[in-house]
Amino acid sequence: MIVDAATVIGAVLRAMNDDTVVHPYGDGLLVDLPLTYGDGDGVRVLVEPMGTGYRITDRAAAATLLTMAGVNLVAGRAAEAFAEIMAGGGLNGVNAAPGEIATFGAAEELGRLILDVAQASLRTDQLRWLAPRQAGMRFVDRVADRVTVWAGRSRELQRDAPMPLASGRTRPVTLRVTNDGKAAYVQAVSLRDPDQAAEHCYHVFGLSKIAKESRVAALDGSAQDWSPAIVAELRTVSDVEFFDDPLSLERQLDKVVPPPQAALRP
Amino acid sequence: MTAANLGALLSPLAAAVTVGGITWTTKNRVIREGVIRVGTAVTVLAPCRLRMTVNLLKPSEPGGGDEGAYEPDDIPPVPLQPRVAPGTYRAILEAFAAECFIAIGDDFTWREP
Repeated sequence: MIVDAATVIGAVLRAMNDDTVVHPYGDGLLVDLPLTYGDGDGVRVLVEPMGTGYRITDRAAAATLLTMAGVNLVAGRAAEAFAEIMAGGGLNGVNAAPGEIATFGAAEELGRLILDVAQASLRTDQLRWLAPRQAGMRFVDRVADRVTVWAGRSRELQRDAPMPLASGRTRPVTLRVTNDGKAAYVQAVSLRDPDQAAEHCYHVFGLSKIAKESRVAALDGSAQDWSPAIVAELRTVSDVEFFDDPLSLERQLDKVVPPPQAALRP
Repeated sequence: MTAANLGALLSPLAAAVTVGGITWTTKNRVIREGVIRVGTAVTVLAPCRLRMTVNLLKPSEPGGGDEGAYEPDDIPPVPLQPRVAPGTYRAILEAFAAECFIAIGDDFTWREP
């Protein structure tokens, strides 16, 4: 059999042509391409008219897949790789939300632009290999579950709760527990990236204007898992409890946000 | 977990019931993740949860978790649109829960993402 250029190019174009499907979507079109992400989902980009050209976006599809796989695209190696993929792909990111792969260009370039966005989206999806092998349950969820059990029905719980800072701003912490005008703020400090987690905790609690005993740093593991210097630093801005201790977190929360008096009676 | 264990967990045998309302958190700014705790009759099991992911840029294509343990087949279809009608996500969640024999608890409260 002879391989000639026209046959091969024709075959590629036919495959593209036969397997590309579009759907109307708002002012634009969703384009399903004959390409798939690592989990088998098809690559679908949105093409919208904008000014004299088109804006093409993956609508943060790859970022969503990464989030579900447990990869944080906002910080660390994944964020670096993402910035590199955007820059290397020549994408201008017009009006892009965080994690969204988008570009704007002239109508004559439309085909190239669609392929560029699809390629960058596929490359980003591969960052899933940065996810820990056994993601298991995240530490913040374990903290939230444990505090939920402790709180029962008598104390209010809020996830990602805003904590007031001395400056007048607020910053979110893992949990807020309230009852009867009293509040405790809990920040989960994971062992996955201990230095960064501890620094974040130190930063937000250090800027907080609430009483120090009402700020609780819940550290994953036990004292042996942490550098004594880091723990000492955290103790200057908050109470510190280790998650492996079966009772200490509950004890501290009971001190700051006691149960309603009625609940104490037999 | 074996397929048989999973089958039991997703059957009436598990007597699964939701605990409390849905809690939404924001991941990566455009991704909202809703979590509902689920209690089961299997006491040795860690607390279970239902997870729902909504990418605000593709609201009519909501997803589940990455667990990949179970593929739903009876979820109400959502028209492919830049906006979805109120109540859509709740209907999806309830259909999914029903498919897995998870009862909605008396204390369940729904919030839109």
